[in-house]
Amino acid sequence: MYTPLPHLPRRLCQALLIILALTLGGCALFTSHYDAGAYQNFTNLKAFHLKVLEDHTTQEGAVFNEDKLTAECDAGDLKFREANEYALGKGDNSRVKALSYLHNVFKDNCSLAKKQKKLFGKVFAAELTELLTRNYDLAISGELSRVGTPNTK
Amino acid sequence: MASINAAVNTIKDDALALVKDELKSLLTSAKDDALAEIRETGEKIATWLVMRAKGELTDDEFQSLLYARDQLLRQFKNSAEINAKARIERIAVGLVNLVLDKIIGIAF
Repeated sequence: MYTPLPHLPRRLCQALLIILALTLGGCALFTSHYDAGAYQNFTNLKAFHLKVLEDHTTQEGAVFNEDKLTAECDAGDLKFREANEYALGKGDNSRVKALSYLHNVFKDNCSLAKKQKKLFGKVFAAELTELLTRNYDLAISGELSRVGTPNTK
Repeated sequence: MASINAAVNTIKDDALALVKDELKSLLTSAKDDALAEIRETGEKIATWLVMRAKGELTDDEFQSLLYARDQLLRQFKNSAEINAKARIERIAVGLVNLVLDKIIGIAF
């Protein structure tokens, strides 16, 4: 049988490999595995955030409604807080950070809409939609790249 | 995409000459960078500066877009780190298990 390190006794080789395996197994502590709940939170928040942006963009028949805006911003804030609590419970800071980069933009968008007291212009909304979509897609692809994602080893 | 000169020339304040030089230098570096995220950031900022000068974006909207871009770049870095760590775990642990199980003959 092939021995990787011929000058070392076979038992020592086996012991070294077991220690190496245990050490590498410890790498799992550095990044948590795929979580279906976290994936769902990212996709739900993406749909919600983009819908809020769409509802507050200039279009035919649309008028600025501060009460509606406040209600949607509060609802969104609650959704982000729930997702954050879930992520905190999973004990992986990279997932918490991914959510914060999305929540920060949501809060900024709400602040701007409340400050301007008018619907977002089409040019601004188009630029922001592109950035938001990419930000969410990166967070989702980050979750999907974790070990244990369905359809991967 | 707006040209770098057009973007830099939207800044009319003479007191900002040094800032204009630095902006031009950074936009030029971004344009030639190998990483798509950096190239896109340069292109977007140049475009937004021109849009702002034309009145298509307000100062608040411009600031909001810059903030959204900043958060996107942080997300990019975070996702890349997750991906790299997961790859190490997947490949390295897979290799050790293969050697233990198939070559040494110990199921682990």
